[in-house]
Amino acid sequence: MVTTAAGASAASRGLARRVAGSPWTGYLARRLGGVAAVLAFLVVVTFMIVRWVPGDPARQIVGLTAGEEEVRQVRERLGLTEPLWRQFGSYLGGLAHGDLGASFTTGQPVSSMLAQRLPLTIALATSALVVVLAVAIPLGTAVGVAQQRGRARAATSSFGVGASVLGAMPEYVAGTLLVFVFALTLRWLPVQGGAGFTSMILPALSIAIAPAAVLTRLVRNETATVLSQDYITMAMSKRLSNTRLLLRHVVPNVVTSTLTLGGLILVALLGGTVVAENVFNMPGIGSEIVRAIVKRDYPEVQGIILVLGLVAVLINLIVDVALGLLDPRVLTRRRS
Amino acid sequence: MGHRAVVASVSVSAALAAGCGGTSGSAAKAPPNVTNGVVSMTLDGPVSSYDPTQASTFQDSVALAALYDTLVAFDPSGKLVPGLSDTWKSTPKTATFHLRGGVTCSDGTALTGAMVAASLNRLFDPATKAPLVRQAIGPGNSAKATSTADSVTITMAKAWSDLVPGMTGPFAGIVCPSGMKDPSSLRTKSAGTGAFVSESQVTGSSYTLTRRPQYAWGPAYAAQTAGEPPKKLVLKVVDDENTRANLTSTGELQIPSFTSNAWDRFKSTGGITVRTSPQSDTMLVFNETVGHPTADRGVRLAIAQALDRSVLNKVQSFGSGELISSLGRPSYECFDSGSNALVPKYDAAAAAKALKGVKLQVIGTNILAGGAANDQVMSALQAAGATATVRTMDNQAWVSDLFGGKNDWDVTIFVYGNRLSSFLPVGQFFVHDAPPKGLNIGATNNPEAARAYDQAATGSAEEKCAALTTFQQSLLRNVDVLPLATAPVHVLFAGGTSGSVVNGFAVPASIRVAKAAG
Repeated sequence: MVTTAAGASAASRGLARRVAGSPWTGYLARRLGGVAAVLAFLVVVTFMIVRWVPGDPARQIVGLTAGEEEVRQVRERLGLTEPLWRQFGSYLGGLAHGDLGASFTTGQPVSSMLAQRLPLTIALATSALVVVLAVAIPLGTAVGVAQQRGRARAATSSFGVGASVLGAMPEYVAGTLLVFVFALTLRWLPVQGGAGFTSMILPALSIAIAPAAVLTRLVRNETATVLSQDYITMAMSKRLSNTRLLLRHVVPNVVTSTLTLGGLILVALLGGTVVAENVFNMPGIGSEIVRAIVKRDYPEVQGIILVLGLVAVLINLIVDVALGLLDPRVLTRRRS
Repeated sequence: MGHRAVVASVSVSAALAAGCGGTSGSAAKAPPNVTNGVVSMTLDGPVSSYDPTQASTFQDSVALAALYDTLVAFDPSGKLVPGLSDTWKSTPKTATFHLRGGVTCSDGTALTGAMVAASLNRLFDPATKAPLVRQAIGPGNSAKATSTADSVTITMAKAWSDLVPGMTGPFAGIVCPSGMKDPSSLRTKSAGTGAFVSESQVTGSSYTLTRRPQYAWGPAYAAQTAGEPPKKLVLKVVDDENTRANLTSTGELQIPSFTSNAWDRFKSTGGITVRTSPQSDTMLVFNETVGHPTADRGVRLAIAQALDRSVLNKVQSFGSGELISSLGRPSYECFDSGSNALVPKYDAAAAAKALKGVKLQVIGTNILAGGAANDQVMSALQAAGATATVRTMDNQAWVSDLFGGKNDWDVTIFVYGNRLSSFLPVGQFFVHDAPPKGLNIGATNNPEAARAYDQAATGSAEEKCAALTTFQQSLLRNVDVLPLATAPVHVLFAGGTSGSVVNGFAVPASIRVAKAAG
């Protein structure tokens, strides 16, 4: 086939028109703009906050007995004697080249530290999300169906109480109980996390329990709401099997809200890793950020918060795109 | 300063203590024995570098003690003992160390006097910017090392009487030629004569060291324990003390250390040895800057009388510390037993007469028991009629407050980890310029004490002890300081391990694994 220049031009104009006219264009532009704004905000705020917290990183490095001159030399080496605007400029310049600086404490580049530790934190948060979804969707749906049909009243009532208690349980309490039962008493699983599959089970459960309980309740309520709709009554009157009814009519409707909340839960789970990594002594960035804050290790704090923020906004972006694919109506809706 | 990391999520500790039988009173199961010769020991935080000259933290001391030897060392009782040097003699400006024979570097090179001198000259070189070198040679001083085949002599520009104890510091570890050739490699790779050599590390998380089978030197006490040295020593950073206890219970950690009561669950557990060792000394320091109520000796005396030191000891270290009567412990060189009579006695009635209505700001660090002792000081002052408030900060904020010259406090509990078993390092905080120019944190105005300190710093051994006695007694008479108690660390040996503890940490060269266990 021969394509003429005029034809190619017309084709590209057509493509441009289609892109401009697509509801995805504005939708993605808005979302990407939001991502950029959040990241810019994070860069500025983390840079300022770490410097507002009282404490001198130089004194931390040289110790109490160091004299004024030694402390000044270290400050100079760390670039802390420069005016704030110049320090910020250097930081931005580094970021533009993908350089997050080096740890004040160990001298290790922050990017190396992140490369070493971030995968473990992501693995922990993702494992926990898998637990949350694996528990919440089937259990919440089952309880919702049972509740709607007036069956197993004692069980559904107990579920409400149990979900409330578990949903309010902080990570450190969950972690404590899990360690006590499964590591110290039964000795089935290790206390040390992050050293293989079995060592991920307790940390993942410790941060998954509360969100799983919350999401299960949400799925139960969504299921009950869907089951009370007229079109479900109509479907039931056609004598559809229960499985078909659930898979074709209930689950797709429940998934939209679950997905929205799932993104938020994953972001929250990343925060939960701070506690879990300390309880289970896991070498992730959750435990490192606590140490970095205590040591006033500015480059590490800035780098970790920036990367965690980036991960969070990317998760939200992915959720937004997935929602757009599942329900195209959201593409034309103004963002709330 | 004891550089115990304080985790922000410290609330975990309380929950874990409750949940994991910390107060249950029932004996925990004995941890399993070491089966593969790999022993794990806790670190309080990341190691800065394997370059001894850059050492500044407590955890640096632990790691560097495994990798490098020093000319002299302290034994568990605080006495100076031979290290790489078997005998030594000193004057106020020089010290000569005779080297023991048969020592080799981790790459097999035989250690010579010239190598030791080169390593020390790198430490003394201002370009090296060794943060703690002033502990060895004194502030504003310079030094040079020269060698013969079997000895090394250090000569200083100005006299400093702490040179020999200064050579015990981790910063004075002798670096072998391979490390001297490429100092940047020392950040992650050791080059010393120590009992272990670096193998691998996950920076900030764990540091794996391999035993040197040929290691047959080091302090004599380090070889006294029965059993085999571990094949590998893993230094694990574990911030939370309850997590340390949990890991010990399951055999994932053999040598944890504790400053809290998280180890209580092991008190009646078989197969565990506990060694308690003082890590820090604590003392009440007053801000004597003009305008502060504590500039008045009468107010300082009343504050000292308002405090029951034994109660403070119970609060800050669960009663496991020992009351001290000067700026340090009886094991320190030149300890003055006569100082005890000069420590003001607890007298609440006398305190109340002088403190009624006096406004006092207490500040402190949360490094010991979360800073509970700071609250106790405030309560005692309030009970004596003072209008006292307290501000407990994390250690970095507290240090910045003290050394930044803010002058926004009247009373603080000063916590100092004295690694040199000497009164000179801690004495610096009571003489000469106030921060930010100097280290005199309370702007202590005691010319007699300052003169005595200078004499002690530059005098002969005899002059040093006499001057230090004058220094301490003068501070106590003027109520410039109220000595409180030691803050000990409890080091546990589990899983068939044993070892010696010096200045709060298990000496790596002394660690052994019982043959039946290993």
